[in-house]
Amino acid sequence: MNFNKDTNQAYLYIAPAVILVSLICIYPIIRTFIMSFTDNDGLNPANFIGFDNYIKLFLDPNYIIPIKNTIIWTVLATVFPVAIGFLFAYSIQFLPRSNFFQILIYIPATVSAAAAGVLFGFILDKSGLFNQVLALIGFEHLNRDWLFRAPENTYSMIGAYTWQATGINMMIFLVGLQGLPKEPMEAAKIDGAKGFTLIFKIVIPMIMPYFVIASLLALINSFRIFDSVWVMTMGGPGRYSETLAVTMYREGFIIFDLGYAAAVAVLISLVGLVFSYYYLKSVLTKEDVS
Amino acid sequence: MKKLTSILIGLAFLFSANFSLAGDVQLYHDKAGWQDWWIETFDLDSNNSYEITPFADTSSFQATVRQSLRADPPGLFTWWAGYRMKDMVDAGLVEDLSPIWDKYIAAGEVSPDLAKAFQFDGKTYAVPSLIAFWPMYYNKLVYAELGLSEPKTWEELESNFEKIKASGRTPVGQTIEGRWPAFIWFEEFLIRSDPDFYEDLVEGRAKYTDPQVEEAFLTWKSWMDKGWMDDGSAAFGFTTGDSMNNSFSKGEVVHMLVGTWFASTVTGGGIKEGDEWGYFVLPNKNASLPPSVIFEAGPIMVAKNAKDKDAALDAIDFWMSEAASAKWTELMFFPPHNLNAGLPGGEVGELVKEINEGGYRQINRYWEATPTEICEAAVDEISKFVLDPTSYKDVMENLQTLADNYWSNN
Repeated sequence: MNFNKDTNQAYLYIAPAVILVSLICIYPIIRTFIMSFTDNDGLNPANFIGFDNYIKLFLDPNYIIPIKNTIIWTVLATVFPVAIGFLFAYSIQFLPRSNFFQILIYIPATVSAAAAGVLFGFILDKSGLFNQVLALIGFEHLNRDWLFRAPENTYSMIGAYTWQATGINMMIFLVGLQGLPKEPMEAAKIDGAKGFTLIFKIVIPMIMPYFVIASLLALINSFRIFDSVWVMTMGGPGRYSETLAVTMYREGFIIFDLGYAAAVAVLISLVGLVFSYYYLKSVLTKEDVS
Repeated sequence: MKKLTSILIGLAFLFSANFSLAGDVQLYHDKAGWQDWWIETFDLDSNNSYEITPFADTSSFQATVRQSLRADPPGLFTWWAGYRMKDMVDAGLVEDLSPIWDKYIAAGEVSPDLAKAFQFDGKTYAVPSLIAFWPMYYNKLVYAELGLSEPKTWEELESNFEKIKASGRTPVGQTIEGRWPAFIWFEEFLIRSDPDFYEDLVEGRAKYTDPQVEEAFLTWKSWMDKGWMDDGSAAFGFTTGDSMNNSFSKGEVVHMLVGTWFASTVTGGGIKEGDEWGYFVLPNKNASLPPSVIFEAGPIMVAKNAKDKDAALDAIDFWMSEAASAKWTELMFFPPHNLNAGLPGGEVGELVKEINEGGYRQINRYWEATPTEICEAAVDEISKFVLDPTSYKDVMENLQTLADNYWSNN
């Protein structure tokens, strides 16, 4: 490696960030990884137990539900916020006061997940607003305690999450749509393309990189979903709405099997890392192209 | 340079001021709502000053305390009794408080029975911050309207339920909100038929697949099938309009089985203690059994590695005194741990008197009486039963698997 004055200076510039990231991110990651091979309970000296925690994780039938729920979350909490975000972005760009609608749709994204969870706890309660609205429009027979019954509780929470996550996706798509060249659109319109044909054949292919970015971001966030679930149902009742991140918290901070919780955390991080790799690859490729 | 010196002197002054404000004894607790009452009670201790730190979140409180016990723990901290404190005792991280107990027991000021909740191998590792019993709360207004009286037998209890149900109300409220309340009725049904079996079960000497457990689930199921209990979906306290407590105060739900610490919440719901709501201890299903009641004790412990350990031990000595106990009872309405302190007023006082004079067998709550690893998973399994009462056989099998996994390794 050839060090000269310029490169030394460059290293000095990035040193604070590197040190901070190492201390705050890298060190805990390494500690967690090591902990996942121990029986650490936070009280007694930890013993190395090899892959026992990982074997337990994959063999324990109790983890079928969290894994299943995490997959449902990952799929639906990616598809809905991204699709609805795109629809909003595409629709409001033609409106005269689009800024107003942008703000309106983005506001939920500024609310903390915990606060939104409390809010939706009330809305989805047996006597909550959602059931009242259903009754008002003649669907009283659909009334139920949305957070108490499985699988309704998982789907309800995904609905609440979609309310929050749509705004950020809409913003991503607005940026993409605003940067589109006008000529191909006009040419397509002259050739008779309109409505869904125009959207699916012209617009979506042209902003595909933004779809990839929005989808990967949504995948990363939904795979590690914790706060919304913890606030609304704590993964219950009967663990029926538990996700892997809730499992991690429960094992770590309720049962204090920190080694096992670390193994779950490593699994979540590895999957998140794969999504993040593709996310960064697509972002960096896009930047290279531009 | 002058400026720098002044800044340094200023900082030194600020730090010294901060240190002089800090108390001699640190107390960490997760009962944030009790903060003022802790302060008021410990203010009576002229020997020590206190730095009392409340934690709003129980999980972060537990994590902080556990992580600190080997490094720089607070002198005093609240915790949970029984198996929930056992790992700390086993790890040798908490102080043996037997000498303080011995002193007060010898003086006839505290009951040796009370120490049992905190004892391991004959040593006592905590003193009580909370003493609570688990009676049935009942709505006296509904009882008066329907001409009912407090049941003395299981048959009278069920007869009351029938009449309450016929009046269009729900006889018993239950909740599994927040997971943990699922064990409440499980333990109650067990002790009403066979308290010895319950104690064997929580200690791993009996099985969750035994007929006594099946009988408990079947009784529970029959109550739910008859509409005597609601479906468990209601919230516990004030959180929603149709919470168990709010339904109780409106007379829509007529009984709740909760610890005596819930009394102020019930009164806060808008009905008057004594005139409009009261307690009774559930009669036994097996009429030949002596009376019994579920008992809960919340401990205060002393960390062995605390810098302020000596002061903390002195603080524990104060806490066990008549003055501290009387003040705590006056503020919290908890039964006093010091026998010279008077009983609390109101319904709690009446209940404690009845339990003491009636020679009730006091049975440790499931949450503390069975190993945490079993209990934490068991409440989720029992919740599955509440969601689908026909699943009791699967739930029993799953509970036994949990117990087998624990007891085979411990």
